[in-house]
Amino acid sequence: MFNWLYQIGEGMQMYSRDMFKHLCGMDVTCSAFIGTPYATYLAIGLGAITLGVLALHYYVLDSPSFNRYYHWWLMALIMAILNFAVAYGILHASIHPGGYCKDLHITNSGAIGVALFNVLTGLIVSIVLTWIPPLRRLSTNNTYTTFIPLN
Amino acid sequence: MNKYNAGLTFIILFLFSCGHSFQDDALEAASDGKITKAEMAELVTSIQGENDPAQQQLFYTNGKIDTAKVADYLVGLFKTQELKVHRTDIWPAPTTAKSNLAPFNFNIFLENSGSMDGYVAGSTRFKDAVYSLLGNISNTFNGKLNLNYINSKITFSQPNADANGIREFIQNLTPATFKAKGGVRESSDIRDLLHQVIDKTDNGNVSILISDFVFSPGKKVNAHNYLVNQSIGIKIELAEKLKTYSLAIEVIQMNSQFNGKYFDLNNTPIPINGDRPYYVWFIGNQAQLVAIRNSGIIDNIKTGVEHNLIFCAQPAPLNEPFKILYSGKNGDFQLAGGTTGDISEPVPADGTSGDFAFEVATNNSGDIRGLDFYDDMNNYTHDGNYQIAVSRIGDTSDVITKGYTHRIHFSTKSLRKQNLTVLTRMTMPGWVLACTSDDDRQIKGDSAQMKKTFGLQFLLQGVYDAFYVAPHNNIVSQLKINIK
Repeated sequence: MFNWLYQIGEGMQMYSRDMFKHLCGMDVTCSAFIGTPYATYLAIGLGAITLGVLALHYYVLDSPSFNRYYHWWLMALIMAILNFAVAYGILHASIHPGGYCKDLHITNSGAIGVALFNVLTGLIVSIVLTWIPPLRRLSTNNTYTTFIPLN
Repeated sequence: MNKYNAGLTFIILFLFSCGHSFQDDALEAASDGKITKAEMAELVTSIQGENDPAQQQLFYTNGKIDTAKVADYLVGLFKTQELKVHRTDIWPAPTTAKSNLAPFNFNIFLENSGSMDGYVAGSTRFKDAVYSLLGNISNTFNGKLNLNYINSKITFSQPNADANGIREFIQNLTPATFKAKGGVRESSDIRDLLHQVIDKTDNGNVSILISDFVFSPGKKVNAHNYLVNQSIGIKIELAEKLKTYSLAIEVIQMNSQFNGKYFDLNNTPIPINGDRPYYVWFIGNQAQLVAIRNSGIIDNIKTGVEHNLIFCAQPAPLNEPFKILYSGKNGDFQLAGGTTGDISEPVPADGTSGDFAFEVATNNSGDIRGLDFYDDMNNYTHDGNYQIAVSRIGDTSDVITKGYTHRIHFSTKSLRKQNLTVLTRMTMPGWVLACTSDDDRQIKGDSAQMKKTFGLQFLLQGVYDAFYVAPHNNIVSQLKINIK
C-alpha cells in the first residue's frame, strides 16, 4: 500500500532496489511479494510518530513558553530521533538470517538509508503541515510557530 | 475531540488492516505445530482475488487455488523459520501419486555368439554384473523374469526364473554352454538381433539385450559399407517400431575380463586376454525405462557402469519448470510477472556498459535422460548474445531452489530487449567416438584398441537417426525468457 513512498527513496538512491523489494514484502523463498509488508509498517510508524509529535507540540503542550521557531526544531529533532530509531529497529530486526529472501543483497547500511529516508520524510511532512495556517490555528499558542520565524 | 479520536482510531485500524501478509498469517497459524483445514481455508481466502502473477504461479493450477501447492509452499516457509511443521501436519494430507504403469515382465536376451565366449570363461566381472542385475530386477520388480540366449534366433529360454533359476543360469554361463545352446555363433548380425528383441518388446515386456555389439562384416566384405548398411538398417528397424510404440532405449557400457577368441572385421579369430567393453541395452517404453532407472537397479549393478546413453522420442520439446532467481545477478531487473514471467526493466551493472547477468533455476528431474544430460554444456544451444554456465544445484535444503535441479547463469556485455531461447539438444556423447574402432585387426597387444568396440558409432548413429527426426530433430527441451 505504501510501496510508492519507498520507491521514492530507492529512486533517490538512499537504499538499494533489493532493499526496496524487501520493504515490499518479498517472501523468504524469494517467490512473490507475500512476505511481511515492511513498507506498510514503516509508513504507519512514520505517520504515527510525525503526527504524534506535532499533536503533542501544537495541541497537548500548546504552551506560550514553547512556541518559538527553535522550539519547532527541537521537536523536529525529537521526531527525527524517534523516526530513525523505530524504522531502523524494525528493519534491523527483519534482516536476521532466515528472516528475508537471502538472494536479495540487504545490508545494515541499507537499513540506515531507509531510516534516514523516514527522518527526511517526517521532516518534510512536518514542514508542510505546520505551514498550513488552518492547522496551526487549531492551536491556541502555536498559531505562528513554524520551522522558520514568521516575523 | 471525540471526532478527532474517532478519526484517528479509524485511520490506525485501517492502516494496520493493510499490514497483514500471507507469510505472517501462515506463521501465526503454524504456531500450534499444524495447519488445520480451517486455517488453510483462511489462508486460501487471503490469497483469493489476488491478481499478482507471482502468486498465481505459486498457488494456482488451471485458474484455481491448489491447496497442495499452498501446503508445499508452507513446508518451505516453515523450514526457513525452523518450525517443526512437516508436510503431514498440514491439511490437506499429502497424496501419493498412483502409478499408471502397467505391470511388466523382463525378457533378458544374452547373446551367445562365439565372440561372447571370452566374457564367460572362468570367473569374470561380466558374470558378476549379469548376476547382480538379475538379482536387482528380481528383488525390485514383481513381473516375470524370462532368461534367453539369442544369436540368429532364440536358442534357449528359461521362463519365469526364480532365485534358484537365476543362480543356475549364472552358473551355466560358460563357453561350453554357449556352444551347446547352438544357433549361428560364427557371426553377429546386429540388425537382426535388434529386430528379434524389439519384436518381443511391448507395454507388458521390457527387453534387456546383453552383447559385445561387435559387428562381423566377414571376409571379402567392404567393412565401411557394411557398417553404413547396418546403421541404416537399424534406423529403419527402430523407426518402424517408433511409429506405433513409445520406444525408449538405454545403453550402458561396462567392461569385464575377456579371455577367448576375438573375431575381427574379417571374422579372423584372435586370441586375447584382457579387459573388454560390453553393453547392456534396456528396451521398453519411456515409462518403463523411467521406472527402471528410478528403481536404482542400474546404479546398483555390482561392477559399476562406465557410460550410459538414453534414446527416447518425444512429440515436442520439453518445457521444464524454471524460476528466475534474485541471486547471481549483475545489474538489476524486475519480475513483474513473477519468477517464471518476463524480465522487465533490466538495468546493466553500472548503468551504461551493457554488462548484465541473471540466473535461472530449472527442474529437469522429470526427464528420462537424467540430470547428467543437463550437466553437459555441450548439450546446450542459445542466443549468441549471452554466455551461459550451468551447474547442478547440490543443496536440496535451500527453500529458494527447492525442487530445482540446475542453475543456469546468463551473462552478456550487450544488454538489449530480446526473446532469449535456450535449447538442449541430444547429441552423441564424446565417449561413443572415443570407444569406436574402425579397424580392429591389430587388437592383440594394442591396449587402446582393447577398450574400443568395432563399429560402435555406426550402431548408435543408426539408433540416434531413428529417434531424432524432424520437425524437432534433436531438441530435448526449451527455455524461453523474454527480456523487455
